Amino acid sequence: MFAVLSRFGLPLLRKELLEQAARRRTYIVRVAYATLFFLACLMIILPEMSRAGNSPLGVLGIGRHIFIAIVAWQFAGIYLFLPALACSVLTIEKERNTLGLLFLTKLGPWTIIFEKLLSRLLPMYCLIFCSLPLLAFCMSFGGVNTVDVFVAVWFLSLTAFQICSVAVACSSFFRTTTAALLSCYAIMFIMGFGLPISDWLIFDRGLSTFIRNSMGSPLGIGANYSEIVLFAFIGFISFIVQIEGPMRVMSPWTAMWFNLIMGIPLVAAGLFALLIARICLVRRAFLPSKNLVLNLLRVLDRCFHFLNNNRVTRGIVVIKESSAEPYFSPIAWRETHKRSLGQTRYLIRVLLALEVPVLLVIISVMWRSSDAFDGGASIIFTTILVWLVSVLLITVTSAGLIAGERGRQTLDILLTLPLEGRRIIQEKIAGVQRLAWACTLPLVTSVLFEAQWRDIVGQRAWGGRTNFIWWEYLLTELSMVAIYIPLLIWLGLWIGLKVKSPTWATLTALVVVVAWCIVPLVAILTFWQLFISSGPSIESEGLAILLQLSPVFLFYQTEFDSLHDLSSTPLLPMIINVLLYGSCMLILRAWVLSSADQLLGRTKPKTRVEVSNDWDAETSTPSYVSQLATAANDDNSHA
Amino acid sequence: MLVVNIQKLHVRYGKLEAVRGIDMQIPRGEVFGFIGPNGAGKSSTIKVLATLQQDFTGKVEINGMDIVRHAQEVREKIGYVPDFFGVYEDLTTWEYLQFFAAAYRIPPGKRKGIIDDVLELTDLTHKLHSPVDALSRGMKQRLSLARVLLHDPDLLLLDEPASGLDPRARIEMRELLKALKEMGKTILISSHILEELAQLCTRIGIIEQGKMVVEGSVADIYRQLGVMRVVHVQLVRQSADLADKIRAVAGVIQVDEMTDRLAIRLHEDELPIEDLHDHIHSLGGRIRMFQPEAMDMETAFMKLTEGKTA
Repeated sequence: MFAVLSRFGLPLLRKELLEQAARRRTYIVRVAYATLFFLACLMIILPEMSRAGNSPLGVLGIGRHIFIAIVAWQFAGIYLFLPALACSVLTIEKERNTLGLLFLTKLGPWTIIFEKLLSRLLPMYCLIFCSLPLLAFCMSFGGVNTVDVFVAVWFLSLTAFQICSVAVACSSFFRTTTAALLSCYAIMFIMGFGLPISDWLIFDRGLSTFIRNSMGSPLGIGANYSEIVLFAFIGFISFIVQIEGPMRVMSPWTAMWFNLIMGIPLVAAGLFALLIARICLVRRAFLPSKNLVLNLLRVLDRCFHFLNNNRVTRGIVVIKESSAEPYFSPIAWRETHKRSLGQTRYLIRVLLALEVPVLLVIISVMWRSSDAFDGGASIIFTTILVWLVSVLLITVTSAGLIAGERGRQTLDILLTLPLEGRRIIQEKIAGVQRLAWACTLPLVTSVLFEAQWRDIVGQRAWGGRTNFIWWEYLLTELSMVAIYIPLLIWLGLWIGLKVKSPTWATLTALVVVVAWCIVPLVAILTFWQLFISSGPSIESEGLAILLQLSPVFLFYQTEFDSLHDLSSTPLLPMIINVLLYGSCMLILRAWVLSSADQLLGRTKPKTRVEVSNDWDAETSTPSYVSQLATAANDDNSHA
Repeated sequence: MLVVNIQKLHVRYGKLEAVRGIDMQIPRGEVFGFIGPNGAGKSSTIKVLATLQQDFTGKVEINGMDIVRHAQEVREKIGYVPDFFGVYEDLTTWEYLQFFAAAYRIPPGKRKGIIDDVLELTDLTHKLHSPVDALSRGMKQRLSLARVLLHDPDLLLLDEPASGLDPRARIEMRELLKALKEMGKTILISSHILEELAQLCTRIGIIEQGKMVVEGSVADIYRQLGVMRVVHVQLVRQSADLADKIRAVAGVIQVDEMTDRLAIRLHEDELPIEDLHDHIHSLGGRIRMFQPEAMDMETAFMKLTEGKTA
């Protein structure tokens, strides 16, 4: 393959593929992806097979459900993993200061962009094509034809191209991989859900209809063409529309044209992203080190200052930032007074940025939703969104605490200070703890409203169910907030201590969080179906307890009103969850603190020294100027 | 009293043994220069002393305190300047020094005076409110020195403090180190700029492949190696006859006749420089200029090392 690439003159692509081939991480990722994917497929196939019974005829036609589920997993893989794989494509060159060397070669900007794009697309296509045997397996059960497989591969490929292009554009625009990755996810969200959310906010339709359709039937999208346009940038929706929608009754030629048309938005989005990448490649190749969040907040400062200086408010300052110098805890002082996401006034902005949309949704639900179902769906969606943002913010910030010091090459200096390792860590997390409070308030607001809404309004309309107990819901949700957030802080911090590079610390922390949510579910359900029970029911309390090894399981059950499916004893799932994750958090915290010196990479003292905080104690206070003057006088006298 | 006492120090990174049984003793008030090619084990040794190395064997003491048993106390006695300057982009010079003053638990009432002192010493008073990020590299390095002087440490560990600095910044750094030497500070400094070390250090150690190749004063090392000194002499009436007579003096190896001067190579052991001056005078030469060439550390370094890494 490398010889072929050399013949076509693609040196950069060849170098990238060689580098990937030489890295152990490449194979770990591939094996992990394939294992997870095949386990997930097994989890889908086994229940379908068991439902079909022992009759060979019973399995006929079930291939379609399996096929759609497998393709859905592939889409999830692309949306989740591809940004992480592709976002470093240009930022890594910037971080290593090698991008300038590329510009000095005969490779043009477009060549660099395309070769870099291909270097990430090709491995992703390899992963996509991993599923082809499984798709063939589905065809053997019936219900799937070759056109369906073609449509699946077509939309998977286009989605991979679209997401990879966006990742390359982010990589070209930003200086660091972390910034590129977070922006890529944000852009993907805006691209996918921007139109439906705008439509919902402006015309009070779209999102609620979408959620209703999704919840009523997972594949029920596509009945309305205006909805399809709103979701044109989501490849998965286009695929579902094609498979379940009008294409089923079309002639092959018409279906092909329809496929091509449905693919246009995805290709256009990808090409537009590549154009942005090309424009930014040279202009933003040599960016100075800047704290983007801090700069953004400072711009806001200037705006507010300008707006505040008028006759009415006369520059009134509601929250005065303390300008005190560090007195006793210098590291905590820096984290809470100098870091962008640690300062009170900036945290209030983060709080408002999260709280105001939550309040707007609440007001909107109260005033505009015509029925309880719409309102409930919207508030659930908001709660999930606030959780996602909080998890992202806290994980990224805590993973970067120590890894960031290492990246800035300031860690060694901190470690030679006469401070105990555990104290360095305790002071380092002071800023993240404040950030966690800022994230907690919108979560609590959303949860409180949801409890009230579903109790008072929702009971009648929520599918006739009456087993919703508001206080049980509230306690379960609040317990999750109280435990998951500190757990995320300590988990992120621990990963930041273990992984040397800030970028990889952030990526690893995010991957670990996602894997912790998904892997236990997939593995346990597959294991359960293979060896214990052939049915997919989670009514067994044993299985329900096991599934709580995934932190999202209880959240899902709570949000979707299935708490009583887990246990007939009220609050038992919550207690198990609190015990499980509370212990995890406490053990992790205790371990990180007790082995802080070792994790930080400094010599651990064998004898513990009690640090005196007595400021009045006599300490040597050198007077260097006088010493220097004395030395100079001595010299003069000798002369 | 020994400030640094290292015996049989070994540092391993997996299979690689970066330091192989180094012994080193540095008494109080000494400026010890640590020289060696890249990858010789200098930074590893300094990191052990800075309590930043977890895995090592051997006895390492600072002020008589074992650095593993008393790591925390040792940290109060050392000031470490790494070969890079990590930037806290969000702090000004004043805040940066306040930050470290608090970390060293200097009483708040005394901080201002000490910070003013170290800033004056490092000539950074005019940059008091400048962001650290905006300082030049030379200034950052001086700020690093200011930082480690805050708590008046017994030992300064300077890992290539002049690397990457421009000539002016290097000279400023050298003058600053000379000032610290005059104050009686014990300093362990590693550098590649050999001539500067020769001027500054009371003793040097040359390390290669994790082993100390030679250790002693600059003159001792010179003597051990048998490296010749070169003295440039300008005479009022330079003649071939006089040059021949100088060649005949015991200890003189070679005399090169230049257009304006003689370049005399000699073994300092056999013929001290002062004696050469007397000899020339006694041979009838009227000396206009007498300039011994600075010790050729680069020659010594090249002679002692082969450029191999551990």
